[in-house]
Amino acid sequence: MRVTDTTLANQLSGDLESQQATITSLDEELSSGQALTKPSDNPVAAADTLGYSRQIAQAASDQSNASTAQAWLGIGNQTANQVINTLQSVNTTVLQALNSGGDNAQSYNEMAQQLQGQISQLVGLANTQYGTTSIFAGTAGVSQPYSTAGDYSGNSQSFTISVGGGAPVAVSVPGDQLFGGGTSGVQSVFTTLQNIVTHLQAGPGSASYSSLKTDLDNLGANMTQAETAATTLGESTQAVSAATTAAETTSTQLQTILATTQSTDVPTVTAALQSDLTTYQAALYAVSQTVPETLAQFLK
Amino acid sequence: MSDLTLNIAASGIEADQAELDTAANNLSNVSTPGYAEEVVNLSNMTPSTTSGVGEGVAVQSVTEDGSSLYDQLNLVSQGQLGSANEAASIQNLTQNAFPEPSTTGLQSQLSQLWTGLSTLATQPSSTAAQQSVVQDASEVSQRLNSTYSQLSDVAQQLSNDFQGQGTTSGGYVGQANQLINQIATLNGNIVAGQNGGRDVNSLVDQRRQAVDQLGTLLGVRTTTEPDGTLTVMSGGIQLVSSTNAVDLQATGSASSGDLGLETTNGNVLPAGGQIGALLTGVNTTIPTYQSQLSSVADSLAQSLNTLQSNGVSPTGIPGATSSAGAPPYAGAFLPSIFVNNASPTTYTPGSGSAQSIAVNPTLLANPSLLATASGSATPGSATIDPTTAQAMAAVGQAFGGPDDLYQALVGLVGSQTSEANNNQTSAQALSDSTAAQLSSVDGVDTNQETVNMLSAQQAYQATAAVINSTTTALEALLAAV
Repeated sequence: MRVTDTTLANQLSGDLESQQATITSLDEELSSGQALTKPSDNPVAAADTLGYSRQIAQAASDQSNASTAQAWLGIGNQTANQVINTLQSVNTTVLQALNSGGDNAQSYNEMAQQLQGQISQLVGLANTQYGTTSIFAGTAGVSQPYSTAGDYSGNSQSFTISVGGGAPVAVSVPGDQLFGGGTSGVQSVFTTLQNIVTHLQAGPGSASYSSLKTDLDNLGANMTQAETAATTLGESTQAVSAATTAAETTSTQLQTILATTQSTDVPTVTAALQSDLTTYQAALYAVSQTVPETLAQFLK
Repeated sequence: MSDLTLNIAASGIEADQAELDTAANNLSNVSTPGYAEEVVNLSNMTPSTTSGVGEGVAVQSVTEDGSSLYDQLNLVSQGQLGSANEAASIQNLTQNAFPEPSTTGLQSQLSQLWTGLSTLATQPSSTAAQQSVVQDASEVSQRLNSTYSQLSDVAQQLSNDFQGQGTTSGGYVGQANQLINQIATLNGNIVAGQNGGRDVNSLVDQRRQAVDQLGTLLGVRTTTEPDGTLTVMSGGIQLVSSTNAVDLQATGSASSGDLGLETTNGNVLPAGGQIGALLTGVNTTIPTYQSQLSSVADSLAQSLNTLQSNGVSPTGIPGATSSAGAPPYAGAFLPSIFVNNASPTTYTPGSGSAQSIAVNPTLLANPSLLATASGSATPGSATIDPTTAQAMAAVGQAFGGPDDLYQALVGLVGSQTSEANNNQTSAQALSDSTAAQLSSVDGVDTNQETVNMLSAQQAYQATAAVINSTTTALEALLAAV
């Protein structure tokens, strides 16, 4: 091919331009630390990155929900255990009343008084709140699900929190499943305790004796229910812990993938930049050598 | 005899002078755009006597080097390069409307909305959580609005580039018309010049340059007619024939997506080059992106509005289609979450919805009207049931939901931009290569011109010596007489 000045000039300037473009884009990548600054840098990776970011945000949200769930469950578990302890102590009192065979009316009255204190303590426990939300009201938005007489105004649905990985986890038991009454099919713990108080106040005697035996059976049912509720809460606690771990693992893995996709691979880019700079310098040298060399130079 | 010798020598001097002039002209025009190297065509003069001695040299003509094949190839590649450059620049402009991946793009705003809803589900009656969801939803809708208008602005800008701002004479269309008329005028001047025996090379150069520019702008093909005029066609429609020019005009508008180009006598021109790429960008690419962005808005608005309408607020107000809202309930219903700006109560999906999506002003004023509870809750009773809020938060992970649609759109924008950039690189390479081929034929080679100059100079000196020697011989003869 005949090489004219125009050919040479176009070719050399074209080469220099394309090399400069490559160097600029590598410089940009290296200085920003980002391999992906626009979707066109790597369309597939850009779309994937959006997906990863989305999942990371979801995992973070799951983690935050899980800690709320843990707080609910922590309070729930603690309350359920206090309820069980109180009921056990009531159980002991009633057994004592039955075993003593009714020594005197005075001790029955003392027992009744002690129980009344325990009833108000249980009402307090039944109205336990997380923040401003009653945790034993089911999903009803009421601030005091239990009246001082122990009447339940909540509903029988559990409050749930979504912690990722499937269905939301129940983080509370509705009040009637811990304290009885409502639609639970078990007599309310407050009715049982109030009956015991009434029967103790009636003083020793065969009538009270048989009533108290019935009360003891009812109390047994209340304790079984409270233990079941505590077990349910315990299971939820485990489920939430597992979900927290899963969310943390997912988040860590995705962060790693995201960093690999999005960040500059410094050694590779540096090497590429070095090699491009060398080529560019060689091209500059070639231009400086070639362009002025014509026959005209040698005509003196 | 001596007269003849001097005449022969004179014709040689003249030819050498022409060679030197041409070399000088070529060297002066080394980098003139559109200039083709000129050559002096010489022929020897046939002897008029029987002696067989020639009568010298005649300058037949000075013509341009060149190749019509390479000219055509170059013209085609100019059109392709024009188109690829314009397409790449449009793609990169539209891509700016999608600042992804980043922590400030629509994707992260959507994620923020889903996180807000998920938090709301853990405390449905919290005013702060309700407020934050409504705020996040409002930011998402504003981002959809601004992305849509950013794309509309690009289309409007391109339309201005095309038709010229405010007038019909500027812009690409104006430039094309100017070039078309210039070519027709040059056609006329070239024919007139040839008929008058004048040198028309510089006019041909000017015409070639104009055709190249028109090719970049519009994508054209040319045919050289026997009379030396150039016929210019684009998209099968004749724009210049002899001295007749056909003017172009813009039709349609960017906002209706039917911007077009036609000749003043009504033929629609399927343009290539820069104009073709611009029209594709304005009429196809940008509307496609806007319509897909509207699908994101539709998916978001319809999913959340349906859940809202099927749910119940924490204070027990039912949505219009919830079971709690069925008779005997006779009170007010929850408002839609998303509406169109134009109709502040309902949301209508459509290809322009991303432009008009907004959060219901009623909800902005009173965020507690967000449905969080299941539709079977008791109307009028406060509830902390989080079922609806959980379902709303799950929309963010829904297959084919707003996030998926947006992700697909960003992927599409990215791949089309990357493709346009690659096309630009390869069109540039093709154009460089055809330009190199053309310049190797019609370009000025300094070395060759220098050699031509030297040989003309030597011939000039030799011919001058002939004159000297003839004169000396004549003088010797005269002295002898």
